Amino acid sequence: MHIAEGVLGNEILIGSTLVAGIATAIGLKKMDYDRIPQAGVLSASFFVASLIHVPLAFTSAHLILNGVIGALMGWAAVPVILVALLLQVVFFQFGGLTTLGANTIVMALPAVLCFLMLRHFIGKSPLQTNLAAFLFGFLSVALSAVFLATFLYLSGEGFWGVSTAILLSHLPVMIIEGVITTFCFRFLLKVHPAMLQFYRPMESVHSGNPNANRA
Amino acid sequence: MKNSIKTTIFLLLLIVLPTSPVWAHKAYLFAWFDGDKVQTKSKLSGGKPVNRGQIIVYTTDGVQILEGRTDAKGEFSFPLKQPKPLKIVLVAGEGHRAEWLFQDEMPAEAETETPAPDQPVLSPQKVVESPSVDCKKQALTNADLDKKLEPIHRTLAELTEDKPTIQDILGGIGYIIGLVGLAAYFQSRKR
Repeated sequence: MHIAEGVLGNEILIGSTLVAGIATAIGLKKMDYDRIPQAGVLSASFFVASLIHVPLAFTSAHLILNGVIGALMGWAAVPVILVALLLQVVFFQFGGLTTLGANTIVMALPAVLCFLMLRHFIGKSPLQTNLAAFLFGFLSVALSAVFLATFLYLSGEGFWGVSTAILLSHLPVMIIEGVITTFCFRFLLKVHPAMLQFYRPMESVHSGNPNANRA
Repeated sequence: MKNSIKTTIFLLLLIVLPTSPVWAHKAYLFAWFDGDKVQTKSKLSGGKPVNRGQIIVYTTDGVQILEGRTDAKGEFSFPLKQPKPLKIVLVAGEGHRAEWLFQDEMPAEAETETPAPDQPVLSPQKVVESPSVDCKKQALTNADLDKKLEPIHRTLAELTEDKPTIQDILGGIGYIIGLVGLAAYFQSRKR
């Protein structure tokens, strides 16, 4: 899923680097510095997750884990994933340095989008919580596939054919990630709910102050 | 606590399951000269051959010469009388791309000044004396050598793939720990 060097045109590379830069700045601003160790662990998990293969019927897939990272970090998922992607480029040659911005957008923005969309549903009824957790994992990967298809479309390949192919091929990953995210959520909600980024009394969310009243 | 045990076991199972070819992170391209054609082999990380990948061949000036598709084994060949510098590009879909700079490997003509190292050294005078016989001999030797070398080329193609090693993983994790430490240090100084 990593876009390699030379695939995207120069305008796309510059634009994606700028957007990724802005998103990283927002993420760093919103990062709670008490959570830096968590951010490190999540970054290391993302870094290694691509090496974990889940063999399926006739093929296999690798984990992406951006759903879990988005749920735990919110906007800070962007710098976390950026660091992990950079290390993957340097050590494994997955993706490319010029395409770092594009790859960050593909992997991190879906996590942030899911966080913004789904955070209100956690902690209500058990069914809503489980469903939202599953969607966190599922939608993060699905949106990543869509973003990837968009980038490839902007670099000349047809959109619908490529995007359907990517979505279908990542469908098992989406389901597995949804399941994993659900397990993570249920575990964390029982043991240490404060770790979930959005678990805070509703007043602080509405008042718009992200640092207030951390549970 | 039951939930945490279940979760841990589930995650451990995922890690322990045997690895197999994975949805690709990287595409590899290998090419060699095979007598009268250039043979290319395309693979994804994990060993899977690239099926119906697009191969484009350029001159070193960037002019496109030809284009084709790999077969189910990831191979694609195009005819070439003599090896000359070319740039071969593989576009493997889903954003994968690899390049191979194809060089002048073996001189194919007997009139070259530097004899190929794996052939009997022909001094310039000898070549002038009986050019046709030596030409044929050299062509036959070339063909034989190409045939013998092809398995070696294929093995080299298999070996060029560099899988992530444990050192890479530990190195990356080390950098992350370092960043965490730096951030924590600066954070503590702020306070």
